[in-house]
Amino acid sequence: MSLLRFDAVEKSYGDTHAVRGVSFDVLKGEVLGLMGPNGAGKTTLIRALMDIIRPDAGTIELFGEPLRRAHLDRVGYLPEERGLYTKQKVIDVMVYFGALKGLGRDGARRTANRWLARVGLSEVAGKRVEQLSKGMSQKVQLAATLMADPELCVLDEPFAGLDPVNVQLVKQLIDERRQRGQTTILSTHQMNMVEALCERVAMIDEGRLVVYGEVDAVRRAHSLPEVRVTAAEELPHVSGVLETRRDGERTWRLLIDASVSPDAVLAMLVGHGARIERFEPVLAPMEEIFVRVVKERRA
Amino acid sequence: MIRPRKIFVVATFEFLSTVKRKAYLITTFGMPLFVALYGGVMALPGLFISASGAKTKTIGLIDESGLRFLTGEAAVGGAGGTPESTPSLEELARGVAVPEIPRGRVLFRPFGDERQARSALLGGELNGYFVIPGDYLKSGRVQFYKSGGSALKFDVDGGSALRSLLLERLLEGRLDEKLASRVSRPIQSTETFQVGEEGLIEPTGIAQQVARLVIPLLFTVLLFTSLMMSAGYLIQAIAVEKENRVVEVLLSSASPEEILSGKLLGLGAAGLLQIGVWYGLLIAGGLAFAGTLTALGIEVPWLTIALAFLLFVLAYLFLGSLMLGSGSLGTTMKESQQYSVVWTMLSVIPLMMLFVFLTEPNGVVPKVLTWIPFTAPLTLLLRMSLEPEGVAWWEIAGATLVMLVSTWFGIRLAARLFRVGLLLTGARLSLREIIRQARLSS
Repeated sequence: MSLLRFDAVEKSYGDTHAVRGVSFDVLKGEVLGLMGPNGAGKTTLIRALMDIIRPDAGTIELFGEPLRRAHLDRVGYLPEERGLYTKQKVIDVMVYFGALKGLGRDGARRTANRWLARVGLSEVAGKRVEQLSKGMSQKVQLAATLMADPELCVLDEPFAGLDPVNVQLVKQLIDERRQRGQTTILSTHQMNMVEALCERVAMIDEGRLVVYGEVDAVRRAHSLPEVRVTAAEELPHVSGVLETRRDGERTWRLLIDASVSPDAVLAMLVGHGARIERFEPVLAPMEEIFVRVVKERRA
Repeated sequence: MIRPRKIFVVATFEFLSTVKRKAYLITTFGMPLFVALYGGVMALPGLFISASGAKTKTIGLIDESGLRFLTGEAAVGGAGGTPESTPSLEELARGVAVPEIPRGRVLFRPFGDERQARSALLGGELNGYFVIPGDYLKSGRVQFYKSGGSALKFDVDGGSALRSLLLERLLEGRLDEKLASRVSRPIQSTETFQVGEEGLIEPTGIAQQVARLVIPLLFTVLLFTSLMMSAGYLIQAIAVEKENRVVEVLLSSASPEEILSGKLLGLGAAGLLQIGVWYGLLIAGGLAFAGTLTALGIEVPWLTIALAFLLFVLAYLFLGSLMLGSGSLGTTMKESQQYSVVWTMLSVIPLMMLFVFLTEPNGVVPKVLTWIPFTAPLTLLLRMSLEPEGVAWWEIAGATLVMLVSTWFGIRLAARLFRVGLLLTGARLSLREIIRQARLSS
């Protein structure tokens, strides 16, 4: 079920076309990875969703209706260009952000304290923001984004500046949202995070949607016809295999002719007496796909 | 649609953030203290001069003219029974103006020859001595001797005292007492009266004349100062949010109109509190000296004070909205201030034309400026202070309406520029593009 729909959205600044006719859906309860090189138009698209800028053309539907300001109380947003009021106390800033999202003052204070405890920062509630480390500040911003329990959350580079322990914490928080049936748009350049957290991806380049679909399907579609085989002994040569490379002591990578299916290759190997222990298609990592797509488009 | 709850949240946050700032507290409560101290420091030289003037100066006199100006020691000026005495409060209130400033007391001591006088001067017994030469009656020349120092005031006092002494002695026995008194002092005092439009005549003293000039200026300066300070807080708030990168989070939770309205109200309330404290202290000071003010015939302009509060709110809302809009186009605090300075320049026009107001408070120029939203607040306040009877009620109502409508347009324009301002973080758009984006954001 579609929670959010971009339909032929366009936006330009002067002669620069930031977004050109982008259309895609975000489904309820999923984590969608929004990818693209710097300046591709991701932030413009997100700002249009948050009603910070108005598109030149196209429509945005949220919660099944044309986008309205009132919808945004149910949306959390952690922008890439983010910050806090440095001279204010952490708890006051969080209460303010919570109150802006519709929480009552007392409710916002209780929720803020609970979220500070959740991210392990209870002791900084009374401190001024300027006294926090960068990592602490990042976690406070994330807590402030999530404290109103938004149905849709847009996280733009949420892992930037975090140590591995805190990266795990953020991953856990995103995963918890998924388990509660809440939707997250994750905009990041960390492709391993996209692979680990997202069901689907949308990739923007030069303002256009260039890749869109389930992560596995995208990886399969953009991978070379290659399989990884683990066997007890050397593999026999079979037709349809263009190249065989050793990938470990008992592991080989076989590049297959595009006209031959992997299943046929497996059958031929077994037919030639090979004792196969493991046979799996090699999917290109998202990072490789990202680079390849961008390079191909530039070329 | 603007949601009042969002405005309230923003306003509360801005108000509390501002009033808790050290700078705000220092300005609010320190400014009156500073003004009082400043006034005190400015008054000190006058006090010193006055104190030194109050001392009796001894001046020698060698009379070679043979006119017998001095038969023994004679005191002139100060408390020594001269006609120039400080006017009473009642006299000031009645409009009695003493034409000459009271001077210090000078004691003239006769000397037989210049050698004795010089010796007394060098011995510190004299502050100086005059020599009236033999041809004085023909030439009118006298000589004055002193020992060092810049004794300008002493010379003036001494010369003035000698003039009084010589005049008195020259006329003595030649004219009757009354005529002699008028010759030596043709105008003893001047009484001033104010003739109203309906022919009502009221005395106007120096105190009232000074008060009529000082009070409006004081209120205007206070209004303008607090207006500019509050507007400064607005620009600072916008610049800080842009620099801290909070603005994008805010815009995801509330519309630009809600944020701007909240800021205007919150920071306006802080400004109103500040002006309330200042005016309150001024009124408290006025009440403490109520007896003196009443004796001087100075009335506390309650209507003007009430109007000043209304004008502050209107001026703040209008100018504040414009400053927010133009200020949000800046990428730094400095740039925001530069963009906003044009509104300050426009609003200060009445002060730049103060002479016109003082000459003709309800003339054509002040009347025209009343209807321009930029100049209306200071214009109305000046007119109400200088000549309240010349301001019609419909002018106040009309100017209020003009400013409220202008504020509405101001907020709408500011909201558009606020959105565009966000796009300017780290990038520069052409004026044409800014206008296009502002139109799009409607």
